[in-house]
Amino acid sequence: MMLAMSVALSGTHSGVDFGAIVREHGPVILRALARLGVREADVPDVAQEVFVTLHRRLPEFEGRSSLRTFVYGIAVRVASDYRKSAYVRRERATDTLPERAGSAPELKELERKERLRLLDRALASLDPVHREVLVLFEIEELPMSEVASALGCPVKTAYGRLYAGREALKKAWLALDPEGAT
Amino acid sequence: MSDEGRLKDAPDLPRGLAEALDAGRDDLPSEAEVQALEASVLAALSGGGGGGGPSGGEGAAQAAKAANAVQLSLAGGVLATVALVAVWTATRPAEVPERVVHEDARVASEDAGVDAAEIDGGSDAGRDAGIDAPIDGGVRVRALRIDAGLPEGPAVEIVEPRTVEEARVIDELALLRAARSALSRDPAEALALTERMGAVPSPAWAEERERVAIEALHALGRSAEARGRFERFVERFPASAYRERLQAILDRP
Repeated sequence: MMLAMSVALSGTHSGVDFGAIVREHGPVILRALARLGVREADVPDVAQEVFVTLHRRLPEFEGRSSLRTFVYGIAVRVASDYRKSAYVRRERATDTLPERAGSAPELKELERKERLRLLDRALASLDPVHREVLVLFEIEELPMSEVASALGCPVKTAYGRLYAGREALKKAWLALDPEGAT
Repeated sequence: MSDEGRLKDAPDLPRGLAEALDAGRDDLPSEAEVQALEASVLAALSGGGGGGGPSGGEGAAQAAKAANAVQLSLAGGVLATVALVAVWTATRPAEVPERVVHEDARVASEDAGVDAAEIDGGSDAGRDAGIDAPIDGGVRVRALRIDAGLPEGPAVEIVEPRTVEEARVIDELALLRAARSALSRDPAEALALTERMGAVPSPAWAEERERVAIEALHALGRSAEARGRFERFVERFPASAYRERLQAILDRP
């Protein structure tokens, strides 16, 4: 955050420690890309593209939003392009879980992975605009003002998408019926 | 629920959804994954953008934009040098594989603090396949060969990527830089190098690779192909800083 502030205030970029920007924002961007539909194996490539794009677009960053919001906005667009690419649209075998897990930590890890897999399936079934607002608000936990800024839409529109997206997500979750949740 | 309340705290959620949202929030990458990202981004920035050299005839505004890009690139390059040399000093290989190594590489190998004997040399077969034997602590060692001359290359010709993914990114970077530097003296070679990159595409390089290929095709007199490729380039990268430059080049007789 301090770094984002100093970039915003300085208004110049040549002295920016870009590695520090990647270290600060990389973790949440890697997380968000996975929920935005980027396959696990492709997340490093796509994240690299996000930051290379950020670097190119830093001169446009005027400090009107936080740098965090700016990076999320780029991530949403890069992930959207990724989802549209023919490469991703091709059907692929779904990940399979190992058949046996022995120890308690292994079981816990399996459970966690299964939850993420189901979450991603539910998110993938939504309208992309709903998916994006849900990822930024419900998982990345940005305030709605930042969500709207990252998505490039008015706050009111973002709320509209959020409410519709929540209902759609609940329905999608029930349709998966992961735990007999009816 | 207040305006800023989260769905996972809502009372009427289907079973398991709140836990799944929590799992999503907790799904942060490891420190190593973040470091790999940082290294790959800095490596990309050290080679990408601003390196094509001005071709003349462009406006002052564009020149200023290019100067800015070069300035940013240089900053990235210096950082990448520091990062990669740091990796080098930590993971110096027992021997430099033959596949790799640019004569002019200015790497501070003599300062490497790690005894070569600590590193268990991986098999060359593994290296050739691009997958190197893991070394202590999961560090992987590979160096990089740059076939074409790189007169003005920065001091990071030899690096030790930590993962196969990183190695791939750095390989592509080497091909791209070689292609770019070949462009003015041997466009056919530049084009061939961009085609070699095609086997291992990374989204981050695509724009620059296409730019080099289009200029090479034009220089080789293959104007129709250059134009066709330029049209696809514009569709794919509508906001590219290379757009005007390429248009100007293609408009020349």
